[in-house]
Amino acid sequence: MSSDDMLGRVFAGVDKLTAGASRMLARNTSRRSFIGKAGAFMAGLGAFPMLPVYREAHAASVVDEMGDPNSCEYWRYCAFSGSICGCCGGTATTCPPGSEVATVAWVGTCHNPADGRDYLISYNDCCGKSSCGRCRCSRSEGEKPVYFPSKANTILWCFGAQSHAYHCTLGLVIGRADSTVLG
Amino acid sequence: MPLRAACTMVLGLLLSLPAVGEQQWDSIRGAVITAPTEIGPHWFTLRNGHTGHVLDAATGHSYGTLTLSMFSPALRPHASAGMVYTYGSFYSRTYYGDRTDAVIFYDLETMSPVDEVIIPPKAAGIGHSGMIGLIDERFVGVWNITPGMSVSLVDVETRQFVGEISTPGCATVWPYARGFFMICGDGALQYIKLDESGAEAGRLRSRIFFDVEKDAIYDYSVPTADGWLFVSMEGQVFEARLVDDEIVIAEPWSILTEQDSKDGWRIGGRQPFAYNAATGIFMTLMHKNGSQDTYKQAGTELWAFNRERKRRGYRVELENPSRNIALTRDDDPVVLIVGSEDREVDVRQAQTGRLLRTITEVGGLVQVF
Repeated sequence: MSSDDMLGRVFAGVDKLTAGASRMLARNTSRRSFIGKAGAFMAGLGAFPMLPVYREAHAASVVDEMGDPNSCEYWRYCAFSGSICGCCGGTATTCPPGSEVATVAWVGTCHNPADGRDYLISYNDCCGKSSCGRCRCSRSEGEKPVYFPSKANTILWCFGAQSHAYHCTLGLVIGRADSTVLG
Repeated sequence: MPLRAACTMVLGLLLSLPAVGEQQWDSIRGAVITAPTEIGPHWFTLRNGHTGHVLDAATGHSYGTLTLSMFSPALRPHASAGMVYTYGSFYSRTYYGDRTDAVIFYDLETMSPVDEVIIPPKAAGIGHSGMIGLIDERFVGVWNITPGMSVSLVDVETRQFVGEISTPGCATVWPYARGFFMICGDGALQYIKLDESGAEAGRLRSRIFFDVEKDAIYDYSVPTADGWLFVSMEGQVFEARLVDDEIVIAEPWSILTEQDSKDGWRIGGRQPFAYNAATGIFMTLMHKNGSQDTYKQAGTELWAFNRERKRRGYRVELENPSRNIALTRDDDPVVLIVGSEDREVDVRQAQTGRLLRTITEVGGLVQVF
């Protein structure tokens, strides 16, 4: 990734990107709490386009996948921007110790070569600590400018966290792109 | 040491004494200087991390730096007031603790903050100049995202927070007259008109002129003499003006000929185009063999156009690819090309493309005065 793209991330997320309306799912929230948070978020977004997705409460589905989650080439990172949390003490799906996961995120649609299907990926920032700075990665498949946050990755996405200091980013599989049900 | 060599050395020392004697001893404490009060036509700023540089492209000289917050994406020079504005976020424990957001006033002579106005802790941390605008030389507008979108307004004369205007679905602040344009996710522009106090006096909406899924415009813009200029990822140029309380979007023109498209050329970068209203020179950063997904990719060539004729005048291959360019505002402009591989800024004469100088060891977001 270029130094220019990463500049804001290094300096507390000056160049972080957004996502659209429904990509701000907290991974471990219940459906009820998610709907409450999503409702508040939607009110704030006003006229933004929304993805027709829902989250099932018990749906930790298994996805066949291959590749190194700490590599920028990993299939989940097709619209990623930032530092990969697996290089910072966390994993692709968990924030490092002492950081706080953002409750909203942007979403990409990535192709999984292992099963040939497309999935919705939620890119949640981990926040509240100085920038990790390792395993920087910037890809922009299907990514859009900031006025379309559902697919933008240049927004500092530490919303919902106590501090919007950027640390690193997760890549969560939240559903299949051809489904209206989030995984 | 041979005698002859020793004599030569002593003679040399003696001869050099008068010159040494003419020098005054430096102060043991050193001193602090100030920057010139007169701002040159080729002055510009670079924001790199939490440092803002003030430089002169005419000489390559640095006049000093501004110490920014770690959440200050852009600067807003106000030459007639001798000031530079920015906004920032501050935590009581640097990265955590209590948060304070403020618009900060820097004096250009001392390069120091001289005042600040507290604003709601909602400012976006996004890195380009569209996040902060100077409106009619009176108000600073700061774009917020929480992710609800709004604009905070600060009066730079009274140095007071004026208020916050809700702007759902619309981003960026591009000032025009006593108001500002915004880009909206539905494919339209919005214009917010302010009254004398900086409160909203009305808002206008343009026709929908782009499709974000088919060919989105950049969330970046550059001013013309009477409006703003927007460019799409496929290279369509749109010009927006305000005419009789209506936002007029001119029919677009393309920066690409049929042959350019066949050859795979595309626009790309973070500040990928620039315009000088005094000469009508319009410039773009171009790369080959990409797609819309490469819209932020660094350009390997600089293309220069005559905006009125909508024709390309020349193209320059860039040894140091670039994502960020800007044109100074004078009638003999230079283009500032910020390197993406080597941390340097190339200064070229805009009319000819001739390389004038390279300013080393600087980079980042570029803005002209």
